[in-house]
Amino acid sequence: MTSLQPPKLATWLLRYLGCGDNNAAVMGELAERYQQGRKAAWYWGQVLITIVVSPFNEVRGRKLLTLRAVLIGWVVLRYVLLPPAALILGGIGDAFAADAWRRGEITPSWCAVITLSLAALSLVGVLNGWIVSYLHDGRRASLMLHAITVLIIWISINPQGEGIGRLLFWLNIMGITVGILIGGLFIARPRNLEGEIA
Amino acid sequence: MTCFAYFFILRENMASSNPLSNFELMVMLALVRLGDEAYGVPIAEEIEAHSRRDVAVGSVYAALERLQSRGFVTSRVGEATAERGGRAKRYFKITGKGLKVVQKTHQTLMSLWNGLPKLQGGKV
Repeated sequence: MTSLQPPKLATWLLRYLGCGDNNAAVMGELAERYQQGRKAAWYWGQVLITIVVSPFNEVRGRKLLTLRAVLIGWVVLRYVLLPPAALILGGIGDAFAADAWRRGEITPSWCAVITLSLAALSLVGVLNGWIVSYLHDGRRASLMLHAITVLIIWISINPQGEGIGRLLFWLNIMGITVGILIGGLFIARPRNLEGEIA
Repeated sequence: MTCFAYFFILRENMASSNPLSNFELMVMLALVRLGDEAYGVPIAEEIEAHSRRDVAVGSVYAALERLQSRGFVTSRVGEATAERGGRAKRYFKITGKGLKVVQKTHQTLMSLWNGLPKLQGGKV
């Protein structure tokens, strides 16, 4: 019997973005049906449907657990992780880039501080995502909803500023949001791969 | 903190009284037809054979997870095979409670169906 490998990228996406308790089983079903002669387009379609349907199903089935994940995630981010990061980054910014900031100039030291800020906030996001995922048994739908909530709240309550300030605002929020997704989806151990041997 | 967590888990596990959706009913009937050999692929094929349309495996599993959380279905992990990329099958089985719900739904539908001249003889 010839062994046909389903599209690797689609399988990878399903592995990390698929929610629900039976993600490994769904991957197995799709692989089995692909072996029976289905086309790559069919496989991609099935993967995309699963990625879209499964988070809604998980949130619908676990409403209160999802709410808890969002609340705990926000509290940990706002009151535990962000204050020390803001304190350190504020001190570094005042010491090395305050003059350039006031003059609106982009200097090497200013660029270094921005890069450091982006890296530090991304790390804060990664830690936050990992904590939410760890405390909620790797439930990915809760984690995704938490990331979306952080994005919306951050945009709603923080001034966006003008020019470079606006760029900084968007860099920071994207750093945190992407960090949360990376920490929760890719670094934390997913819960729904039971039965996966490969 | 532990009591707080248990409250959420208990609340989540309380049985829902929502009726079955059309697709959930089809999945339950496929489980009855397949018996002990019901896992994702045969369930999808069974529904496809009778409805004559493609079924998304992800939707089948979404329905199965909802039914399992309501106590209508149980599952067990089966064997892993090479053609599945080393991933184990998950077999599903309808419970007594699930069977009663299917029977009740059938009775309700038949009761609504009977005595409708417009639906007799396949002509509308």
